[in-house]
Amino acid sequence: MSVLQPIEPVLGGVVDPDDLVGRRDELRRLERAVAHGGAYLVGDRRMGKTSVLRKARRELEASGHVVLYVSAETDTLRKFEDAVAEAIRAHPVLGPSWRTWRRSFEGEVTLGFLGQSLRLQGAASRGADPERDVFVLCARAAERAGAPSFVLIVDEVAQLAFHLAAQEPGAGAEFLRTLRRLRQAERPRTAIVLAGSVGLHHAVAEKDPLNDLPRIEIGPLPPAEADELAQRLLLAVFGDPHPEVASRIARAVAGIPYYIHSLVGTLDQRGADVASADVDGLVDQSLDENTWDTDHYYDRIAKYYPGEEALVVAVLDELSHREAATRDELAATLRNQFFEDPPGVAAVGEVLNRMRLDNYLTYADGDYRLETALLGRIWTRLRRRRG
Amino acid sequence: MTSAERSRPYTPQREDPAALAARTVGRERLLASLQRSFRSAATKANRNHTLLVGPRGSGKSHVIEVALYALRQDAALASRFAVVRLPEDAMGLVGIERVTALVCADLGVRSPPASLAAQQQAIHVALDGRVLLLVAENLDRVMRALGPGGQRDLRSWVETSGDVLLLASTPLLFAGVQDRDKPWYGAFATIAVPPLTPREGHELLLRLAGQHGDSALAEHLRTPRGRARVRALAELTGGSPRVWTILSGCVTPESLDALVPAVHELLEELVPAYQQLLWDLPPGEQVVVEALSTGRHAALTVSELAAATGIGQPQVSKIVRGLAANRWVVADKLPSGDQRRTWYQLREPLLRHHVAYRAGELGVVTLVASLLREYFEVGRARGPATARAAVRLGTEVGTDDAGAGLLATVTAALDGSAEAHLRVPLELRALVEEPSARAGRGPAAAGGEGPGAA
Repeated sequence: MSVLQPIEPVLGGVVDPDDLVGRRDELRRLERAVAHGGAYLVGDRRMGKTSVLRKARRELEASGHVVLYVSAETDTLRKFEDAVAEAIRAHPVLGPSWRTWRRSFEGEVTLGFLGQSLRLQGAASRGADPERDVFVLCARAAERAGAPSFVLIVDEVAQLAFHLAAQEPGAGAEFLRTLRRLRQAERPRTAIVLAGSVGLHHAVAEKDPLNDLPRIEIGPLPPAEADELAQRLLLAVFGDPHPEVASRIARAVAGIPYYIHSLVGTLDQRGADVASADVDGLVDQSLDENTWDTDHYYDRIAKYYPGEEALVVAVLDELSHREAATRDELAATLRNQFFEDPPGVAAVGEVLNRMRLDNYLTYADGDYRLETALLGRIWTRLRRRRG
Repeated sequence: MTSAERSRPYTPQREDPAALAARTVGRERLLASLQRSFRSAATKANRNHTLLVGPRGSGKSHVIEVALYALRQDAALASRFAVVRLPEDAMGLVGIERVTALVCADLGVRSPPASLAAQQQAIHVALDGRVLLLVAENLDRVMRALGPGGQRDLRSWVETSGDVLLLASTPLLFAGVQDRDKPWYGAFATIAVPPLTPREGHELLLRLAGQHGDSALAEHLRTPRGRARVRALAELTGGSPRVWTILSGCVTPESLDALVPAVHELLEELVPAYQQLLWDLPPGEQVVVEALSTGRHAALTVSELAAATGIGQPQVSKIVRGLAANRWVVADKLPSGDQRRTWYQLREPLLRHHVAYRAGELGVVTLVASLLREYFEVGRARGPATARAAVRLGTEVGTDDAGAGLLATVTAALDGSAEAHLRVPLELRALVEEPSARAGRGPAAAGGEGPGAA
């Protein structure tokens, strides 16, 4: 039996990949997906996508892959292109190659999303006809270095798409289409891993612009891993893993790592007697005081579902007191609530699908459920408080 | 007091950090937590960004200085960091490029490149494996100055590079870190900087007296009467370390013992700070604050405020909501009764008395100080009987109309009137509440939780 190692609470900041608890299944799926061109990591904010990406990056690099990691959390394409260029220049394998590529150009060389791909921009030296496709160039550099593949990881991809769309209709979709072309072109030994929390359907009209990539959902930790995380945090802060308290913490927040970190941090600040801590009371207080902005799940409904607010609220009401329901069951139940203008099955199904993309629901084996047990608790308390 | 020994309640960063550390009380847990974050960042890739939250005067800057001092004392740990401070109040921070340019300058990056990404890479190279400990006081202002795009770019840099650990402070939590839609949502370990307990306030005064070489004051503070006076004053200061520090610079054993002169001196010392705070308020809010300071009661309803100010009720309602959000006022409702009626009171008692003090009306503050002195006198059992005795003494001494109204309110509250209880000034709530009901809450006055936003 391995000895439990302490982990310092990190609330929302960067977590050392060595301190990432669990996620083995997600990482295995990601590794397999990389071998077939890539994946799209999705999950609600603060679910731990970036931590998984960091761990994946470390493991891929340890396996010899050349990994380029950039964030699309910005609002202009120019800044994103600069970030990619800078990441290439600073990369131990790609950096020297960049200097080689530059020799075929005169003057400044920049990088830009053009037409089908991400390309080097600048005036070619006289007589030169350099390769400009950055993906191709990176893949070649990786191959020369003996790497199994070149992997581009783009975090927060939906953020840039969303902001581009807000600035110019269609710009977000064009950005995503270019990413799609990058991975769909015949480029062996290359992969692209995207991650995002904002539903892409808010940025683009296309139904699912990343549907050619396998989706890897980053959700709550399974109970055993959530318990382990809580124990290791308590060990670091209080010098004892307090297994029973750890289990209560993990259960109270349905295994979501961020909230587990937050609760242990709160107990630390309060200097509380951990063994007798009222964990459930602390969670309820955090929900009622909106410490984690959990009211957001209610407040955003008007913005995300204009004209359909009542339907969405009814679905959440229904699923917060029954474990699961099929689309038809939900439609039948809702018919009784909307006497005058009952929504049709198709309309209900369409809303359910969007609610899934907005991290309200999960869908498996024909059943819809609230995405996490914590959401049920949030919703119940919120409805009691706000009606 | 020599200049070297002078304490600087508004600019602790200009004080000897060893002296700051030596007089730090009530922050042990907080400082230990910060040191753990530093150590975790130095030895691992963890970046637990910390946001200290507390109103002006609660000691956020003091904590930051002491934490950085403690870091410097551990040479091995300190060598793993490069500390860069953003300008206080976000002066000149017109964009994320300005932040990175400042960091470049501090790290000695010559001819920083033009693009943001290249600047960040130059910083990475200059750090040479160290962690950039970026200190951002008034983070709310910094984020406002950066704007939504700048906030996103800052987060992108911090998250992607892993080079940066943020140590920040803010008087109030703000949408930029609280709302799920914002880039920095949930990205900080937010730690409230709590008000000092009366015992901690006493200890701070003792340590300050020691640092100032004021042995007479230190000696008096150690006596039962000295402790009793500090306990009484705690109701007025509300646990603000800054107020205690200012008091230490103007109080004498004699003025502390008499208490009223000490309170007058304190109000005099606070004039510039409170003046600035009030000047920064929009005119409508100034008028309401003035009405709450000079009204017949410390707590007023919206309709009473409307009548007192001549401003329409809807406008007053909007103003007090804003004042409450910025922690200028506290709102109270009767536990059972019309829940539409709310009584508003200035959160910081000394601010209320400041307005009267500036107007030359010293009657109420003198009475309040006298009541507190009597109530917390050595050997008195706290409770209704002592409170009534203190009120009787106040009545016998004689006071003006405002004072008489205050005594009547306290008496009515002691007689069980719930509405009168809400009207009793926060600093006198100790007189009308069962000591057991106040256990663990500290002073009712909330100077340490006063106006947060200018």
